[in-house]
Amino acid sequence: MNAIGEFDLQLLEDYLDDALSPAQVEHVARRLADEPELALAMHELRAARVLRAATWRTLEPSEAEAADVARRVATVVRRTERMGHLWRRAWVGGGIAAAVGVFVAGWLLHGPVDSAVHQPQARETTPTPVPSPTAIAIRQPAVAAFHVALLDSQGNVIPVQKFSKADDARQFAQDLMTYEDRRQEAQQGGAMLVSDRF
Amino acid sequence: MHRTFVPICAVLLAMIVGGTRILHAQAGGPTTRSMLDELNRETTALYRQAQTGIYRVQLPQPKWVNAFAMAAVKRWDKQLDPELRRRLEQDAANPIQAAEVAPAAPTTRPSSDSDTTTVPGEGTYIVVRPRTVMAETRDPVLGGRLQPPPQTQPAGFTPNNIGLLLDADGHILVPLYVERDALGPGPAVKLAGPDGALTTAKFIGSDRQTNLTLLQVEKPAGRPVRLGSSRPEAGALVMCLATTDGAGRLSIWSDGGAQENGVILTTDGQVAGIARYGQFLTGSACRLIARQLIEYGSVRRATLGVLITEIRRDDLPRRQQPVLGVRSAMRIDQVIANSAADKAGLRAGDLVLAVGGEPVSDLPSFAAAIAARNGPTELQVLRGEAVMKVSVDLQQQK
Repeated sequence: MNAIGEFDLQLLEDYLDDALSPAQVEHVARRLADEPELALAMHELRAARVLRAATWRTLEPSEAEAADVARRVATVVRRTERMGHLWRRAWVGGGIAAAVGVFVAGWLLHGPVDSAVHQPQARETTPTPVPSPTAIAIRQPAVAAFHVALLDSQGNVIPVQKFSKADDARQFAQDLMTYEDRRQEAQQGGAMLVSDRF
Repeated sequence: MHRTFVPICAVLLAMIVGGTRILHAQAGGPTTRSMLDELNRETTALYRQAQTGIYRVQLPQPKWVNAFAMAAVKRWDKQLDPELRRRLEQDAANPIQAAEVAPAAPTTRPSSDSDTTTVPGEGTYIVVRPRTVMAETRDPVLGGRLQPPPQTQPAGFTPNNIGLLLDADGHILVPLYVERDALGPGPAVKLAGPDGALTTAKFIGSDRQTNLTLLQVEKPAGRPVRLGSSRPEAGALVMCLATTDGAGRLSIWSDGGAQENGVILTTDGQVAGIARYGQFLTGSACRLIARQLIEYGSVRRATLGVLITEIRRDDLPRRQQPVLGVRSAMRIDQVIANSAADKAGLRAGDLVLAVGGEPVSDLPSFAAAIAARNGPTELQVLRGEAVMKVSVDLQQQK
């Protein structure tokens, strides 16, 4: 991938978008056959086109769930700040996360859930049974720290990842869901080897 | 069972072709209902018959699955919290549950929803996600899910895959590749036989390129499955057993099995093979891989000297190869200098259609086709618009 320049990347993007002329398509197809680096870049580009929107659409908490998750995450963050890594020892297994919460820690002690950071339609949906995937976004302008937390099936907060930008936190939460998506699909036989050396 | 099932299925097919709406509309009528009941009984009987050769297996999470999944968070590598990384890498058996990621559905999203990931040293994978959840209440003959009888699972036993009993020696084939060292210390893999009894099996071997693992139990229970040698004909009625829990579903084989993910049974109870959303490994190919694993503990596959990629049904290169039509093939992306492929004159861009007379339509079938080859082997190749035969001197690994 490193050897591929911007021009070629754009060319591949256009190829995937079917936005090239027949002559250009033929040219790219020939290069794909001749240049393994380009072929690998193509694979990676396809991987980058994973459906991203689905994650946030499905992370749909009810108000009560969001508030509850926020409370629990805040508790963990406070505990973490006070006692370092002590909270890790308190974690007691079970399934990893039923939820991904994105929040600004400082605000959690006092303020309400900020719907501006969250997709509006998420609040209009029917609450899902617990444990449900939950994404909450709580903002404290004075504190520039965003966290992505994993919750286990009992609702316990397990590792928290800190970010300085909300967009990064959102993206990370999304990537975590992709991680889980891939993991489960592969375990279930939904990942197929399509290219290899023989 | 077989004598009555086949003609009944023929009638069913005609009804489906004629329109399931009519079927539904008349389902309440005595004649149709009794026929539906009979078909349901036959379908359920076929499913139960298949269960006699099925084990429930608890496999650990393969390491490659973790590497494959971790690629999704690779961009955060440098800033990942150590504890979170540990949880993702080491405790991955405990899932992050999200509503959309684990539907127990047999159908797929369109191919545009799939993505590919290259895992260094492990090849390139494509993921196809299940799309919809099949109604549990639907009649089995109309595609409703058939579940194995509920059994009380002993504590600590959570099966996540199925295994096919291959022979009286207790060899069990699991349709998932898992590294030997992913099993950790100790010889035992937990599994439950068709009788529900918990037992343990030893790990015999696993093959990454066909995604198969072979185990062996000391005292096998049930009856070995019968393995078929060809993929189902288009339009054939088949039963698909989900690899995760063994749930069964009747369907009509179409689009080369693009909708199926699981063990495919024919209506006479034979295992036709293993389908993975368009990839298909026949029963006989499974047998061949199992034999190699029994004999060597691994598959001694000859080295051809190529980087090869499956041309899937929706891939653009297909459009540039009108002569290929709807046929699947393997495209050579790179030929390694001085390799057997190089010496035989194979070139990048060649499409391999058959190996030793066996059609190869996807990567697992290609991997199986060259698994037991040694010496001069004929490849059928499409170069440009010309189909040619190329003899390659394959040397089986020692």
